[in-house]
Amino acid sequence: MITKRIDFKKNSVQALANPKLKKALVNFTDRSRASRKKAVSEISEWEDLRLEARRIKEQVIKDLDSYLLELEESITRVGGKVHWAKDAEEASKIVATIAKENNVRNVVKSKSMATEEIELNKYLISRGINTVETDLGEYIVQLCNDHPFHIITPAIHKTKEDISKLFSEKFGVPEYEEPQKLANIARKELREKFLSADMGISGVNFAVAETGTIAIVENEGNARLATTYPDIHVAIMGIEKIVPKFEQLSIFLSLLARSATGQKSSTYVSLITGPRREGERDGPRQFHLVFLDNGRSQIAKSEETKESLYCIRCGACINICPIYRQVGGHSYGWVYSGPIGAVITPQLNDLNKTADLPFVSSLCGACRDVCPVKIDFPHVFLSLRQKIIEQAREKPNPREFMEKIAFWIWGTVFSKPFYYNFMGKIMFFLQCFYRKDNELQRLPYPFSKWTRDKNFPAFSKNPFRERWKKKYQVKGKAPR
Amino acid sequence: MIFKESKVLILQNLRSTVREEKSVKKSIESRFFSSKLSINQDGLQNDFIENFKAVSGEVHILEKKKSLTAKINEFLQELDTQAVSFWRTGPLESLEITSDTDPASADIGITGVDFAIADTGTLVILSNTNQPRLTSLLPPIHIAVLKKETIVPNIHALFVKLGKFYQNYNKLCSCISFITGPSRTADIELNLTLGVHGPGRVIVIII
Repeated sequence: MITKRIDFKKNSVQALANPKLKKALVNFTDRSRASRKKAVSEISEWEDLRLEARRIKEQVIKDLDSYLLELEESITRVGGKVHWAKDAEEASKIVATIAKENNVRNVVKSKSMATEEIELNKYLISRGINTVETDLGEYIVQLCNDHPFHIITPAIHKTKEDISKLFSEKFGVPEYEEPQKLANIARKELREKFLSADMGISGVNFAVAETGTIAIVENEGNARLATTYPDIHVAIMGIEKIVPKFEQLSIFLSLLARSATGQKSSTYVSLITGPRREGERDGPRQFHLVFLDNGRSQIAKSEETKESLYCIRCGACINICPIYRQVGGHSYGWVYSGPIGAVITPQLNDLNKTADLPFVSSLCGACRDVCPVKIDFPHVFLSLRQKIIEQAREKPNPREFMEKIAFWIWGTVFSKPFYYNFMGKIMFFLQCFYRKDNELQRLPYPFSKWTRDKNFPAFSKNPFRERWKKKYQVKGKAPR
Repeated sequence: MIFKESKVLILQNLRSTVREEKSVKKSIESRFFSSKLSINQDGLQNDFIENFKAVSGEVHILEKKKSLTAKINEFLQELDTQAVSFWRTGPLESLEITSDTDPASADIGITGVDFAIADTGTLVILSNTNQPRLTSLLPPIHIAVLKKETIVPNIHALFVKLGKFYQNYNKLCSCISFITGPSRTADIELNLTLGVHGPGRVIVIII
C-alpha cells in the first residue's frame, strides 16, 4: 500500500540527475525494443494472436466471478486448496498461517509482481520466517534492500561493479567482475537455500479455469526449483490472471515471451496442475493458490478502465515508453512502472496519493501499439485524468477559476479572425521586452512556467497570414 | 486460514459489474494458429535443431548402428564423471549405466522427452512416477533423449497433441515442463549468463 503521496516530478528530477542510470536505461530500452521487434516480425499471425488474446481477456473479465469459481473447483478436484484474499494484509496472513501450521522456517520465492505488490517478504520476515528471493535480479535487489526497477529485469539499475562489491561484502568472495562468475556465486548461495527450504512461493502467469493448471514462465529455473523441491508450494495470483481453456495457453505463451524479452519461447514454462500425485518422487505435497483481489474487482466494474486488467505483465509498454526511457522505474513510486504502472497504481491505491501518475504520458500511444492484448492506454489515461479532475472539482479551487478565465479568453481570441489578428499585432509590440534571438525567454508570471523549460518562438512582424494574402494579391482573391 | 467473507465480497463486487443483458458465460473456442513450417518429420527435425542451437543448446543425432548406451558413455567419458541420475523409461530402459546418483549430487541428469516443438526449439517433459522433475533440473548438465517422431511444428500443434494425449485434460499430470535451452539470465547489465539455477548445458540426442 502507498502511504505517502507519490511525487513523480521530484522522483524524476532525481533520476534525470544520475548519468549512470541514464546510460543503463538507454542501453536497456534500445536492446529490448530491438529484440521484441525482431521476435514479433518472425510470425505472420501476430496480429491475429493479439486480437484473439484480447477477445479472451474481455470475456474473462466480464465473467470473472464464474471463472474464479470454476478455477476453485478445478484446483480442489486435483488436490489443491484455494484461498480468497480481499487485500494485501489478508493474502500475507494466509501465507503466514500456512507456514505456521506446517512449521515452516525457510521460504524460497520466485519472482512475482503480486507478492511485491503485497510486500509479502517484509511480512514473513517480520514473523521470523526466512524468506529469500531466488531470481538473480530480485536477489540482488533484496540484498541491497532496494526495490525492483523493472517488472522483468529488476536489477537493471545496478552495474556489475555494484554487484561484485555487494557479493564480496555479503559472501566474502573476491570482487569478480565477470557476470558469469557472479552468477555462479549466486547459484551456489541460492542452491543451499533451495535444498533447505520447506516452502516455495511463486506467482502465476496464467491460471486455466477448466483444468486448474497454473503456468509459470521464467528463464533461470528458480521458479521450477521453488515449485518442485520444497514440500509446500504456495502460488499467489491476481484474480485477473485467468485463461478459460487449456489450449488457449498457446496463444498467451506465444505473446508473452516475444513481447517481454524477444524470445521465441522463455527458457522454462511450467504447467502445474495440483500437488504431486501418488507414487511420484518429487514435487510439492501441498499446493495452495491464493486469489488476490486488492482492488481488482473494483477495476472490473469500471467500463472505461477495466481493460487495465487484461495486462499479462510482459513489460513491452515499459520498454517502448519515451518517458520511462528518461526517468526509469523508481520514479513511478510503486512496484509497477511505465505506462502499465501509471494506469494500475492509481486504480489499486488511493487516487489522491497517486494523482500524478495518469499524467505521466504524452498520449503518444506507443504503449497501445506494442501491447499484446491491445490495451488502449491513452483512453485509460484520459479516463483516469477525468476522474481526478472531477474529484478535485468537488472542493473550490482558485486555480481552476483562473484556468476557466484563461481558457475563456483563449477561446474568444482564437474563434474570430479579427480578434486573432488584433492580438497578434498587440503581442508583437508587447514582446519587445522579452525577445532575444527571435525567441521569447523568461516571460512574466503566469507564463513563466512555460518559458522555464523551453523558449517560445517570437511573434513575427510579417506573420503567415500576411504573407499568404500578399502571395495571392496579384491573382486577386486569396484562397481561404 | 479461510476468509469466508472475502470470497463473498469479491464475488459480489464482480457480479455488480455492468453487463449486457442476459450475459451468459459463453465457452470460447479458439481458432487454431499455424505457422508456415515444414510438415515432414525431417524438416521438423532440422527446424528444431536450428532453433535449439540458437538458444545455446547442443544437439547430436544418434548414428545408425550405434547404441544409446555407447553414445551416452562417450559423453560420460568426455565429461569425466560417473555421478549420473537418470530415468528408466522408454528408450532409457535399456541404458546400461552402473551408478545412479541422487539428482542433488549428480553431475549429469539424463531424461527422455515427451514432445518437442520445432519452431521454438523446446523440449516438453511430462512428470509421472517414472519421470521425476528434478533429473532435468538439479544437475549442471542435462542430457535429453528425443525421439524424432515426437517433434511437432509449433506450440499450437503441441496443445492439440496434449489434448489428444489426455483426452480432454481430465487427467493432466502434475507438471508439464517446457525447456528451451540451458538456464539463462540477463540480470547483470543484460549480459547473457548460462546455468544460473538450472543446467548450464543441455544436450539433446535425437534417436
